[in-house]
Amino acid sequence: MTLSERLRRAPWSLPVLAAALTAVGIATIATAAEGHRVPYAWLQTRWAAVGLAAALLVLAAPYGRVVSWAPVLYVLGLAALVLVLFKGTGQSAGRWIGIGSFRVQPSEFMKPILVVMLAATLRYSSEHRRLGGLVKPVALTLVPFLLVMRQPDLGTAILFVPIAFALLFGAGARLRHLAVLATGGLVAAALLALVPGVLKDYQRDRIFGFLAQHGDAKEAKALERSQNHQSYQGRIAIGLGGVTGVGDDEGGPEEASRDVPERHSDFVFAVFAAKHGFLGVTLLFVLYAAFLGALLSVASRLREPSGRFLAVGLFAMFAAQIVINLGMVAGLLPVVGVPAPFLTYGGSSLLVSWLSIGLLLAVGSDPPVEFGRTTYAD
Amino acid sequence: MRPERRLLVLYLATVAALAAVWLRVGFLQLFGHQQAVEDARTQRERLADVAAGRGRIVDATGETLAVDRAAVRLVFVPGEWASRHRYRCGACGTIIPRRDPRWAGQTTKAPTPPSRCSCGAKGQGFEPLPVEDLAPLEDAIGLPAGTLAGAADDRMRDVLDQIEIEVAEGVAGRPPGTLRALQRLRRAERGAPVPAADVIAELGPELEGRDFYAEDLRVQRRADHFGRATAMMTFHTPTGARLEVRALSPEAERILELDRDQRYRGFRTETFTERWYPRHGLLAQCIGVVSPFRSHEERLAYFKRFGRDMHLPDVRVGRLGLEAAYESVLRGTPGRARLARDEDGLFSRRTVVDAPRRGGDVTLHLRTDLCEALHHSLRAAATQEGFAGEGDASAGGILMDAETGAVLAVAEAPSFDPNGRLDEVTSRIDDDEAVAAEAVARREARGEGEPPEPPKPAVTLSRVTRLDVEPGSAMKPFSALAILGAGHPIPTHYACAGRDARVEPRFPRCHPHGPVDCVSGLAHSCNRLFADTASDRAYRAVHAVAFPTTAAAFGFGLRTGADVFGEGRGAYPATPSAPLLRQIAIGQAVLVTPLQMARACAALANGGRLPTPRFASIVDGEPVPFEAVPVELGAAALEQVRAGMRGCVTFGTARGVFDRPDLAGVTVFGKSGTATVGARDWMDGDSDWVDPDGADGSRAKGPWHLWFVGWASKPGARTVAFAVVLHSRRSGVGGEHAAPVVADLLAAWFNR
Repeated sequence: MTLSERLRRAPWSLPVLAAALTAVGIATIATAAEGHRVPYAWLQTRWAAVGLAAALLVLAAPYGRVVSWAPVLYVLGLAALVLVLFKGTGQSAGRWIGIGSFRVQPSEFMKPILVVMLAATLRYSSEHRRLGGLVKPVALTLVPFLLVMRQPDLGTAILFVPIAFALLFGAGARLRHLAVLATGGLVAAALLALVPGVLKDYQRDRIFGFLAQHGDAKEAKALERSQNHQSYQGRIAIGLGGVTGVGDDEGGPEEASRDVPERHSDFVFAVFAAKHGFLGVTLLFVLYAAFLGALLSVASRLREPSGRFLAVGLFAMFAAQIVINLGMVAGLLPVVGVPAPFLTYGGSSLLVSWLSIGLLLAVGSDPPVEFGRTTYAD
Repeated sequence: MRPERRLLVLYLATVAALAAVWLRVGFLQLFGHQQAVEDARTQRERLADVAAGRGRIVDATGETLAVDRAAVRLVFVPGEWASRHRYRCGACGTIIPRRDPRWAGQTTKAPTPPSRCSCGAKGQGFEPLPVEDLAPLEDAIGLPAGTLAGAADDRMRDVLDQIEIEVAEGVAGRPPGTLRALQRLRRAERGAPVPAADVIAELGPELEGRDFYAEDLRVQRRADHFGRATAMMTFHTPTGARLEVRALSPEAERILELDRDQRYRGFRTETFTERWYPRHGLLAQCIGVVSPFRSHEERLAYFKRFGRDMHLPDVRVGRLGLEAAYESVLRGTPGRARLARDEDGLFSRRTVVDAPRRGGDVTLHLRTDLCEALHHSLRAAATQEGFAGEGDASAGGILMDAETGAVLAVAEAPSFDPNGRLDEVTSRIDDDEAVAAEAVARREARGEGEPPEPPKPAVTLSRVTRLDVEPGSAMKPFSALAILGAGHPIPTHYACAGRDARVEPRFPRCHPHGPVDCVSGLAHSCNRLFADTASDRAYRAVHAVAFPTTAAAFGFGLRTGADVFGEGRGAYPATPSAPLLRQIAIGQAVLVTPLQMARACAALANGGRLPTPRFASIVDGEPVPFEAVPVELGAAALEQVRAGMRGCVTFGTARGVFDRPDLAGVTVFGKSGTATVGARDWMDGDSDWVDPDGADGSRAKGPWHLWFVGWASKPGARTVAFAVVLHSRRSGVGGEHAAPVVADLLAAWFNR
């Protein structure tokens, strides 16, 4: 299929919605970084352009070939994750690798790579419909999960879990097997959390601080404030937005969100909520819901399993990031380092998001091939 | 389940989760809005104290002795100093400052001309103005050339260091002050100053990758610190000397006020309130001083936290004398102000929510003219022999209403100017207090009966109320009362042969007075009479009780309860042995303050009521009541003692001193004292004490405290008690040198 045919057949609603979200993100970052020497909004715009170009490049390649490269991509992704353990830079966690003047976050790239790898594993197999057959996809997920946890980057590591579950669910895994897997996973996670050294102190503090926020005791509040300062400031900024956002006579959104740490990245939603209020937030949620709907519609139109699983996996990746990020800023979930797709400042995150859009465009632009199964026996 | 249905389930689950978040955000924004506004307001506001004006201290005539007054000081604004590069708009002449890149963390960029003026002009029409020489301002302030710029650059570096430290602490989530503490630790380890950057580098991994947060905090802190005007009072000259300029000269003030072209950007004037003592050194120890610090520890902690050159805080706490004694009244009630952040994040919006209440005034019984007269007499009499041959001449004197205990005059030498460098005065107080505490500790560590430690000539310790020394013969009237009160009649024909150096080589000198009785013994100050009578074998046990009991009845060895800060207690043995009785009978091995002595004399004058000394007459509009405790005195004993003290003036050791025209009609009762100072070792075997009337005629071995105590009355006038002491002289006797000071004082009092 020629490139022009691909472009013609591509589901354009996806990049349009993604572009709209990116524009919203850049505008919000500009507000958040008001007064900073570093032009964060401009840097994000550059990354958006790079991401768009990368998306078009991926669109030009048949997604089948991408899936066939899955083992290579997976090994490269793991190698990068191993490398980051030795050469990584960053705050308490070493998450980045410097390439020239840029820094990239391999764990961000590992998310779509895992989707591709799982899609390649599950596409022509029915093994995952047996409990024993889940071992392979679980193992494929567990390896990058452990490596990313080791960085440590709890937020990104956690994202691998819904990706794997959604893919297995979408690929027809039995619900009871998934329930057993989920229960086992939760028990194992709870036990591991109690083992010293598995979770860093600040990660443990965040979780206990989050749990404490719902206590009435003064001490619980104090603990929550000290451990979840960022979340507390985020909730104040959201609340200040009211119905229509903070007016200029009230100091504007810059003033309202001044005390939110890292408000240009993981907590950029707090700035958006302060700036546009509940009406703006509602529109943003509609935009995200439409984006996710468009994404899943690509999967629903396909019967070819690798394309379908790619779409499902990428849907899970975006959906999990959106829900976790917005949930943590709103105080529903503990603070973990999960970006809001297209909204949060960050080159790696934006590039990966646009690469994923490119992959989905490629999936959506390929003609449907009818050889998949029509029903799964539960 | 069909694959499409599975996809639908996935989508619906996601939308449900999103809806939950949406509802949560909606709750926060629709129902939690007011709470968020309240929380944000709380975060953006601070409450700060508003200092209350301190009350005045005035003397009995209404003359002000301590008052708050406005002064002008130099303040430094880092943000202005950082933008010293100025351009003049060619169109309207407006001066437009530009930031010096080196203070903004940029080392390569040169200052850039402004692009536009508020008048609308833009482009090349901006004339760069030269960076002004600060010499005219330095001249006006009285600083050597180059001092001001050096001080400003030092302050800028401190500010930038502080900003970086606060940023690092904020990003790393460390409590404020952590890095300063670490810096001190490293300094102690290395034995050399450690740059802030080195300490911040230790947090490297915690700071990496938090550039946005760091920059965020840096912008906030820079706005905060750069806009904050801080007093600039301490300077290091290019030669390394340290100078302090508390208040600006009118010339310097005028230069800065008229600096319309902003030649001296970075420097401003600021009006502040300072405590002012119009009489300077007169009454310095009595009136006291205020200090920014409550204690030595607080002062050390402040300098440890902010550095030695940090300007002193504006808080003022009474640290000495009446300023400390009436601190609770004088300080007033601080108000509260609410500080809110402005658009730049600075806490510049100030609203007074609770107005401060000025402190109450304190009116004294003291008359400054009398104090001044006493001071001049003391200075003249004290000479420049110094204190025990060292330091400044030292003396103290007090005049007290014998009926009420009202303190009418106080003077002492040496003195200090309480208007001097505040940290220096504070430091001196701390040092003197430490010396005094050490002396007391040593004194308590010594066994009873051993000679007490000699006092140290600490300048801030009051010679009248704090410094206790041996009274010598000035104690004899009370020894006589103790002996007579114990039922032991003092011999009427005691044959004084003077000191027998062969029998008792270390006994203080005594002239061979021949036959003496109680009256003439007091008048001539016969040591042998009182020492032998006190240690009389038949009455030794009775005297061992009677002497301490009588001393306690007159308040010796106890604080008087006067309304003064840090009063000395003196010392008096509780169970004296026979040799000790011989000493305390003649005023050795005991310590008293002039305040105690004047009070005890007041009891002799008024017939047996020991008044509590009172400096203040009215405090915050309320009169201060007088108090007194009765002292049991036998009429006959009192009569003998009074006669002896009168005899001292008429035919004894102070004869002729009060025969002055300006004291006509004044009846003076007095007692001289020439006390051996401190541990002159008349108690142990290694004496270096030399008889002042010895064969070699030398009197150089002293020194002695010279006393004159007593009371005076005149028909129609109040009876006044007095005590004067000249400390540690190497020549003279009390009757000849201290008594004339009293005569001058009495002349000033009765002829006022």
